Amino acid sequence: MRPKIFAEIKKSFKYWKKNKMIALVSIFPPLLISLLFVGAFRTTGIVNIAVVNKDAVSSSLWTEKFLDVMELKTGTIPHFNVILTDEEASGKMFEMHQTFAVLYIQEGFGKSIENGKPIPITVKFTSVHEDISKNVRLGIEARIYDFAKLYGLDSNERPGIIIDKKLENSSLLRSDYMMAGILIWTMVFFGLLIGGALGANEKEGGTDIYIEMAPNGRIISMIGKWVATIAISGLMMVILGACYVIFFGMKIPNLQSISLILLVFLMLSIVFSFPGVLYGMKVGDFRLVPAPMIILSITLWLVSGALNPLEFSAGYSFFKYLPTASGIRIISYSMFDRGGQFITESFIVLVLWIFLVFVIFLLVILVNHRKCKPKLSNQN
Amino acid sequence: MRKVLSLMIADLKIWIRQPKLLIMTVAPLLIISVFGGFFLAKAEVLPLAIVLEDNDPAAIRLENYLINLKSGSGVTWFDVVKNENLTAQEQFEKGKVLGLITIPANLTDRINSEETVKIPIKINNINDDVTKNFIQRMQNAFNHFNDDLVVDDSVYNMIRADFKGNTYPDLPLIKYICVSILGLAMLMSISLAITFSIAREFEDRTMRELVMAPNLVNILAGKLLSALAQSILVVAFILLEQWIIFGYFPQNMLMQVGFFFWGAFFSIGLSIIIATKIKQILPAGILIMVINIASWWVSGGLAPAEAWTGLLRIIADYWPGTYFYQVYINASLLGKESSNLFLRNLTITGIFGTVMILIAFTIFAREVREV
Repeated sequence: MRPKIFAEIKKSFKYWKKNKMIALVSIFPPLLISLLFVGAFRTTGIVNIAVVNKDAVSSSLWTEKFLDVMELKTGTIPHFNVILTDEEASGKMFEMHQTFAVLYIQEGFGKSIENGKPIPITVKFTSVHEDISKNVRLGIEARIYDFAKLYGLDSNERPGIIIDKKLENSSLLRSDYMMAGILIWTMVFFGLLIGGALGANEKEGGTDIYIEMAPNGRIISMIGKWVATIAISGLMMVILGACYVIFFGMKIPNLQSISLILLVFLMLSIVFSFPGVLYGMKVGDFRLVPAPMIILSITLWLVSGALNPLEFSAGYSFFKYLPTASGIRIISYSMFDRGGQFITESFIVLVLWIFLVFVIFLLVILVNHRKCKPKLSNQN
Repeated sequence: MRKVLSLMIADLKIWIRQPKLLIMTVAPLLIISVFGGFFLAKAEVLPLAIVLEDNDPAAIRLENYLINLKSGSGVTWFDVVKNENLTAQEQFEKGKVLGLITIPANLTDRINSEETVKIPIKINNINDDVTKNFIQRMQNAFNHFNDDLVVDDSVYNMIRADFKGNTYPDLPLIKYICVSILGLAMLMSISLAITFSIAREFEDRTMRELVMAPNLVNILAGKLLSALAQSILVVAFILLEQWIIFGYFPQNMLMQVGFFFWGAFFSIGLSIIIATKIKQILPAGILIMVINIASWWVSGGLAPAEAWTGLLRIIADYWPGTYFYQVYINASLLGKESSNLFLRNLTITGIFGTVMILIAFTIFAREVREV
């Protein structure tokens, strides 16, 4: 049986080499997902804001100080690049969508600060997008806070309250965290897609009949394709991993992380490539493989803590039992040293899923044997 | 005309009989729409535990600011849990709240003695983005508190910002996402329909018969009408999905029709070029999807292109798709758009569309001759 399984694996590799288009199809979605989701959260944080300073004539010191604070590149983002302009030009910039906000400083603004009764500033902004609106509103409020803190509260010029913050965890960019999730999603996606492609190729090529005719042919073919899927997924992961490192700034801190990633890959590949192969064998047409596999893998990824750690997401008590959730937790721990308390539980969950997959595999063999028996007895 | 219509119906029947093509057209749009709508279009409400060390009036005032603080679209910023110190600490450690603010005792007295009082805030920092939001919302509340602060006979003011959006209140993100996906549906569905139609003829080796047919113009017109009909069906389906799931429906349907034809003109040329060069349905279709989705994203699908920073902003400025989405999204959401912007963007996309169509016909004619 073993040589036949090896032959099946070899055949699967040849199929993959021959059908480069399928390999391309499997690489595009992960890159696109990374671009869409991670790219949206990866920002320089520095944005241009048009400023109409009507207080420039009197060259007020306080107005200058306020504009200096507006341009500070410390504190929370967005950091603003102030583009000084006049009212007409700013109106045109806003109209032609060259800037998303215009800040108007009224004449006498600096003097009014000096007198302790500041004239309000006006901010005209695009409010069609809630996230941009939020960043404009809170970004300006943050600069006002910084200004008051710097020139009033810190120097005890006036009373008030200030933030004394303490962070429980070290710095972690959301886009970096999301890359860990995308790594897991890629493993799942490859397992399902490559499994589906290999599973479907017999029916597509019209060779499924020979498989059925050979003794234990279906089982051998299934095992061979299952193992081949894991191996090919591994190779594809190396390529994609390199892309993630080069294009999306993914960082793998040490050798221990690599070994944990490899272990998670092996476990997830075992779990997901088997249903992929089974589905492919059932539908027998590669064109029916990508869409459902993308939907399934993305759904699993999103409910398993794709954007934020699972414990801060809805449905935590249920979704934590998903293999993808365990995978994301282990990878987060290995890459960012977060969530060490969930590691044992996550490994137990993954082992249980592998066990479940093997039980299903045995059931498939059993059903297959039962199907074959009457055929053989009829032939006798 | 009757011939064109019957050809169109025949072509439509082929499309409907091939569920794979339908899936390829609708599935990506549906995935982006549903997942974008459910996972990216929600303002984060941050769970916060507040501990008051006493019932000082200033502390209660600050607590009220934190409880009632809202986004421009009316979303409450914090999901506040009021607790005893020990319970709050426990909840913070278990990750049930992301932040813990302890308002110290005797706040009024301390402020009256002209002190700058530090308010301790613990933040979980699940990631820098959430923490940034946390701090900024706190700063917003603190600005409110520090404004109009009366100590003895003195009043201490803060600079106030008067925010004026181009629509009031700020629109929820889901509306923006729905409109941008509808724009994507327009551009991508027509592109895919054209691509499938041309690539199928090459793949089935029927292109030679097609171009040698005596009534070629009728055939091409039939195919174009069929592609438009397919596209309308897909866009209508996505619109229905957005209406049912997210409650979004455009205010002005006539305007949508105008944009649909504008989008079709903008997209057709590039689709013909890709279909003619690749000649196979699957890879050509995938390439079209990738180009359209990437274009949607960079052109303002998730956020207005003017808010991009760095390299993305430069790419968005040079990519003609930006100029379609810019007008389409803003006009759909605001009900109108400036005529200067409309004219400029129509010119840019019009030139791009015309050039692409001219190149497409040159390439198509050359490739067909070689078949």
